[in-house]
Amino acid sequence: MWMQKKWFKLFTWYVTASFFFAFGAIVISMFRFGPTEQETMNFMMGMMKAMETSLMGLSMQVKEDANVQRLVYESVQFAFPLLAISIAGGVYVRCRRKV
Amino acid sequence: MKFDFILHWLWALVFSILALSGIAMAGAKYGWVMQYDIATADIVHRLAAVVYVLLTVIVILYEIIRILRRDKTKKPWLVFGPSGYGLFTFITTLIFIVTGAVIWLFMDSNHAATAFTLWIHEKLTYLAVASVIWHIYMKSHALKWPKNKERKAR
Repeated sequence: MWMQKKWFKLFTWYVTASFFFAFGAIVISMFRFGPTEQETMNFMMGMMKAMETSLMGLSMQVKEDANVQRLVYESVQFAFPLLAISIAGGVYVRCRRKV
Repeated sequence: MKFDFILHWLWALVFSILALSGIAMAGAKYGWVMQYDIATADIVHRLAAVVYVLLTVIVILYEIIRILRRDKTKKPWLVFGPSGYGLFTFITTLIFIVTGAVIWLFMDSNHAATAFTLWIHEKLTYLAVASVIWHIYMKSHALKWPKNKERKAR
């Protein structure tokens, strides 16, 4: 069984450790003092850099594109009928099922 | 290998990446998690979010196919379920996706909506990560290292 393989155990330990790190990071950050001036500066600089180089900045540029705006508008037109059809489909499946 | 088993661990991996990259962007107090490299955290978070949405769609389609086929076999590894932690994951996932989409799409056009959804997205992250710790505790038997049968035989 896969769960008994050593490489898989290592993987589960890795994922588990990452969650404990995430939880630890939240608790430490939440209850410690600060943020200090230096930390705020570092964070602001990181945000500024992100505006230039990451998808955050790129998405802002792309959203100003007229073709993308038209595509979003047309997608929204499709969204509500599709939502209604999927809800009706869900109700139909739920009603037909004999539980 | 079972399909629901693969989905479960892919899900865990993607969620852990999302949690760590998301925390790094939560504020100045949290930036140290990724050395204040917000640009990398942003790219990683968005790419992982796309995989997360795809996995959600796959799990929902899988469940719909199971319902249509009247398949009532138990799938203990399936991420979503009608009750318990599966239901909690389903509800939190939908809220994460909706709020994440609003943040992504309206970041520079609707600041009120972005601020509100960011608040929900952030607080829900703390709740979801805490719930994962509880989930790991409840399933901690999975972390036990396999016993070496040969050594045991001696």
